Amino acid sequence: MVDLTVGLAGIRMDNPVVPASGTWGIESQKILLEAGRFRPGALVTKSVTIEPRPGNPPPRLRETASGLINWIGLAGPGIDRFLADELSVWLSFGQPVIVSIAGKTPQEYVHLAQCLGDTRISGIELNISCPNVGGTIIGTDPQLTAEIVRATRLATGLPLIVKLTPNVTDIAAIAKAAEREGANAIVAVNTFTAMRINPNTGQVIISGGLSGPAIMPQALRKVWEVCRAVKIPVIGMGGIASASDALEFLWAGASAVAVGTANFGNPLVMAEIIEGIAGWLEQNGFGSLEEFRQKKAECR
Amino acid sequence: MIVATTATVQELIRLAPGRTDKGVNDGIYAADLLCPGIAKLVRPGQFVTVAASQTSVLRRPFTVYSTDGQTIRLVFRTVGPNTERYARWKEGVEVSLLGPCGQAMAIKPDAECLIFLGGGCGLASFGYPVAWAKKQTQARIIVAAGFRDNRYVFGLEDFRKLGVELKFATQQEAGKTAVDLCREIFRDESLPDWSKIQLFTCGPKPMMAEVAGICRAAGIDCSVFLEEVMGCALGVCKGCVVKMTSGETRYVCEDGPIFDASEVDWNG
Repeated sequence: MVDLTVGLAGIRMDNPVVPASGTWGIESQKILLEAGRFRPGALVTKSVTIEPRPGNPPPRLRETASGLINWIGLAGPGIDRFLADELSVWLSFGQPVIVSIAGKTPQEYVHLAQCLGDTRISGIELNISCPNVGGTIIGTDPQLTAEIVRATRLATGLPLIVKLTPNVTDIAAIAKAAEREGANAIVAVNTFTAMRINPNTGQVIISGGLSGPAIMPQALRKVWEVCRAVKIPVIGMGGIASASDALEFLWAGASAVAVGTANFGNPLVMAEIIEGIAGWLEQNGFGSLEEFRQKKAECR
Repeated sequence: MIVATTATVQELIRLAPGRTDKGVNDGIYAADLLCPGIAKLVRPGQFVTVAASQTSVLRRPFTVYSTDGQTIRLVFRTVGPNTERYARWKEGVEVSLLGPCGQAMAIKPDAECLIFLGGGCGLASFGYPVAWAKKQTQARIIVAAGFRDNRYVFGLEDFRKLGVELKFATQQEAGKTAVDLCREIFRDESLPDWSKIQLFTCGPKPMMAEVAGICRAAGIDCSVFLEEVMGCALGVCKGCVVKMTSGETRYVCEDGPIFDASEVDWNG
């Protein structure tokens, strides 16, 4: 089979497909293993916060045409219980583990990164783009983004992957700020802010972030803008549901792709995407993903 | 253990005709799916999720209605484009299934009477639980079903065959709701002491909330089968939240679908 290996931010992955934070868990991983299919290149956890968070009241999910609005609100056990109960299970799968963290201030990101310092994880995702925790999304502010990346950079030697929001006028400027302050990679994009209103009563049904195939072309464009703006590798994401979607992101310049909502519709979809990418590369005469990347760079 | 598998449709039966003004496929259906992997594992009260169409990003959850160890039966009402598509399944069609998900039901060891109260299609949740309970316990078992409309009545013969007491009413004919049936059952003087009764209910949320209130007032143990829009069905995405009176959060997919009604915050 074609060599799909990717070196990304110092993390060696068997293939370029990873789950999006919050859409893949220990149970999903077990199902994939039981099915005997390809495993993602790395595992990405749900964003961990300092304190346990109950998350938002219901409803937290509503489907839209080819999409999903979520308003989860970073529900989770908090860093202490994550370290005590969950991390060892994530690590036991033998794949690189990227722990996603979310805070409200640079100090919180620093604290979380320090808590993860002595673990065997492969990298940290800085989630600065959650739309569901009240207030403005941190990652819409280039200066605050820079401060968080700078402070966390000083606090850890682990690879830092910064997750960007698409809800900005100039995503390239935010990506550059993250790169300048020492980010090792970018993951883009998080959900687009969205809402639904009951047409009969005028009541807001849900106001959160939109994901799924509905956002794929918009996400692709944002990823393309980021890839042109920075030299660090980019994990492209947003509505990817098939190998052909993933290939579009790879053509746009992404080094790897993340799959989110599609995992809900089909827990084996990442395996199918990995197989699909390998099949396409092979059919088109590429011996490896790296060869594709080099050829693509020459074409530019 | 939860598995992702491909099931084969063995048979699709239209159990209730539905309303012709709602489309040719409207109604209630039973689908028998060959899936030994899941059929061997499933416990009463657990559910599976079925892949949806391309424009629907989420799978659809259904409680398992019955199983023979090789096939499982799902009973569903057509409520939208996906269930309408399922209503056109032909023998041999392959269906992506995930399951069994959620926690199985449990019978209180000292229960002398089990009451299963279904509102409309909620009755579909009780097929497997009642069959299992019948084998599991000597307790008196009463199944009661309230339907709004005659055209959606289903399943009565299945419960009759199980040899349990059966009560049903349609609002259209008898002017009685599932809640009315519940009150009626509680007037039965041959029932044991309230503390020896265990009631399970599944139906529209307002109905379950009302039944929960009646049981709470009487001191009857009440369990509810809850439904929420579900993302992963695996406890990962934290989408299908249920607020509890304690202020804590629970999830239909991993903690449910069956909850102690007195712990659920019905206004949450």
